[in-house]
Amino acid sequence: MTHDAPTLTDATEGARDHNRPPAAAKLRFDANRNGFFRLLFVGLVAYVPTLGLNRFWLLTAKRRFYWEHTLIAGDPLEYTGTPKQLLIGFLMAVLIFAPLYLLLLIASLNSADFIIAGYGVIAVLFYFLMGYAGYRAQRFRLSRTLWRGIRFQLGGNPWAYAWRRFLWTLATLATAGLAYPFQTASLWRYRLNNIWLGDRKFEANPRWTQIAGPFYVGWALMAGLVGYAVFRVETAQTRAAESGAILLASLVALPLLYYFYIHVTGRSLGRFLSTLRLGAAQLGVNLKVRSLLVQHLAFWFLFLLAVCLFGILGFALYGWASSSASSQLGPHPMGELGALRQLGWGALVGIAGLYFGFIAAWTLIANTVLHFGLWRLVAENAFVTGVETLSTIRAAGSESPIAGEGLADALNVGAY
Amino acid sequence: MRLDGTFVDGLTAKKRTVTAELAGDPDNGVWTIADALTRAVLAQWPATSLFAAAAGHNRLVIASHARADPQRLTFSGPMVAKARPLMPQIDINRRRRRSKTLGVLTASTLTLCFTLFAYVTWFPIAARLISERVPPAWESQLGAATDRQVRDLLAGEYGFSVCNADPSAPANLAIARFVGEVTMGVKTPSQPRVTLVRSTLPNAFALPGGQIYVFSSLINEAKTSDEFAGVVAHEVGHVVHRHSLQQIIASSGTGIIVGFMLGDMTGMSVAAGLGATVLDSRNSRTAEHEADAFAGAAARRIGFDPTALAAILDRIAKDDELSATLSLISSHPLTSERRAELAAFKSQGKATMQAFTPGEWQAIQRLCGPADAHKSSNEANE
Repeated sequence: MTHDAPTLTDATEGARDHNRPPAAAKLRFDANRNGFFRLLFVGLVAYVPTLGLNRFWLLTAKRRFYWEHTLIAGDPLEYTGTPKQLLIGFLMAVLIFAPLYLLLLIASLNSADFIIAGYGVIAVLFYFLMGYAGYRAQRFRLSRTLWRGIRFQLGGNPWAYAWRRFLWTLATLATAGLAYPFQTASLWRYRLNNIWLGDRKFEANPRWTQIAGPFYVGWALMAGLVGYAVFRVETAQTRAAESGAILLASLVALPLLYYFYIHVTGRSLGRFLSTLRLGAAQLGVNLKVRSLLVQHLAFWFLFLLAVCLFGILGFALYGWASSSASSQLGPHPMGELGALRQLGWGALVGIAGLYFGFIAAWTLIANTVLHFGLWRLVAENAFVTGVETLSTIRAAGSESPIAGEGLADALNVGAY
Repeated sequence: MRLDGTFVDGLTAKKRTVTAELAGDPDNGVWTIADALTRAVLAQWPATSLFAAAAGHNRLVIASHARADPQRLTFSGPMVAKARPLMPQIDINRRRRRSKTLGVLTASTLTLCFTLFAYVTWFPIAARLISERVPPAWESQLGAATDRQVRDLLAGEYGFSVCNADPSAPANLAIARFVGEVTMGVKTPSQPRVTLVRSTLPNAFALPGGQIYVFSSLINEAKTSDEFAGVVAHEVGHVVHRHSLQQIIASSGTGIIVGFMLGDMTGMSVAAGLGATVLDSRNSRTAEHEADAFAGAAARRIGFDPTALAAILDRIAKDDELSATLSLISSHPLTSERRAELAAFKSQGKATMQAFTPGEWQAIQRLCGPADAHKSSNEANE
């Protein structure tokens, strides 16, 4: 009459397990990557007949997929958000932004200089708002996540978080990046310490020292590279030597930067999450940076393949379009973009199709290789001790307001 | 029919081992969920209210619509295969939810399609209505901004330099007089001003706010002064009806949407493209018709040949090379309707005089310097 015999991976409580010493319960992620790919592919294809509206349904399906295949102490997470909530949130965000955009348009029509200054102001404003939107989006997702029927919550204040993030960014910029470990630890600390499961609050203690090592090594290397490049440029005799030095420095710097970016973000994810406590239960995450690197390499390989493929298709289209329209096209003051407006419908549809096709391919590759990969990497290398203490958690709280997710969508700060 | 599973009651995180027992038949019975050890009844769910919160290979999580709090009943392993046939409502409810989803998705898509369609058909009309309410001061500012962009755009490849800015030059006086006659008794939001510009582009266009540019290459194409007069009157018609402003509003709408899709969510790229819009957009049929009617009426009133405009358009259209570039004909398409309308003016009265005296016409033709300096290539071939 029992279900599966209790194993180390399903440390459930029950009257019989009283005398068992607390075991480390491994998390599990039993999803199939092919199934995920199929889900994504069908969802993206459905963008065409629905003019992109399927976005909300696809996102919901993705989250349900990730959540329900992630098992903590044998019990899966559950996502209770609906596509309609996302759609309404999006419409609310549009209502807020549309008049703002209109004002910007009118202002920029009146002054040409405003256009340039305007973009700068907009960029800063958006960066600030991204902090706010991201926090609210996380609140949305957490409040629609259940585990054993108990809802998660994210407390705290989104504006406070936005300010925190903004001011820390200024500090990091002012110190040429040196303050970054402090920034990221501070932001993680704010978020993690505001998460609740039912009536129990999480505690976490991310510290800058946890990522200081790889970060400062990377920083020093980059600083050295930049210094070397500057030295070479200063002492260069010719233009060619100058550009050669810059080119060489960039060629070395970019992969290096990328490597350290992966290293630092991977380590911060693993180490910071490992400080997470819920009462007497403790989370541990063993994230191997090496595995993360392999995923990224796989991604770039596939991505470049896609670029080649679409590049070839693009050339073919261009060849066909220019040959059929050569009699119509002449020298045009607006250059290619202006000439494009003279092209026939066929060519325009082809261009639009290729563009969106490429974006779709990119989305597919990034999702199946990087996002899925990272989720699996974290879930399969995580464990919880003291799981049995969780059974006394009581339910609390309800679903958070819809608007947050819509704002995040409008500002393009969506995460999982 | 008794199944074994685990249960959470949505109030605490305590997971209990339970038995689930069906009373009645699978379609409309009642499921009683009881603790496996204490036999206490934890929940009673009507069979019709069941749905699957999650379904995997080895896992089936059941919930009930009848309960607001998130109670969950989980079956694992071989129990899943046993439970499924006993809970047909899961599939029914899932199908129902799926068709509802499809309905919502279809409705949203249709709404979106309809909105886009309405936009495409009615926005030009809306642009017209909006343009009628724009204060002339705004239009002038817009015109100034457009003016700067147009000059920048044309300066490089086609050249753009004002022939003679002195308003007391005989040619300029003549043109000003003519414009005055054309606008006599006509209500116009901004005062049209004609400036001749040295350029290889055989074109003329009106900016919002009343500034009209006529290019020297166009003047060289004109065989009689009435042809020039027809073009000027036509452009004045555009100014009077604020067509340029409408064009900008209309294309801004599309520009914002396209920019939004491509990532520029602020629409400021539209502001940077004013010049391109004015130079590039084809005037709508209504706009052309109105400007033609205006020019025709002005011609009849003043007494010069109303069909001269058609003549010069025809001439430009015949030249293949010119039509490939940004000539008058490409922004003022000579459709068969337009040709017919312009031809109709011929029968409505004879020309009694020329718009410009021979002396004035000579001054105008000479204003932009020697003809060879900026001849369009077809003239060189003649």
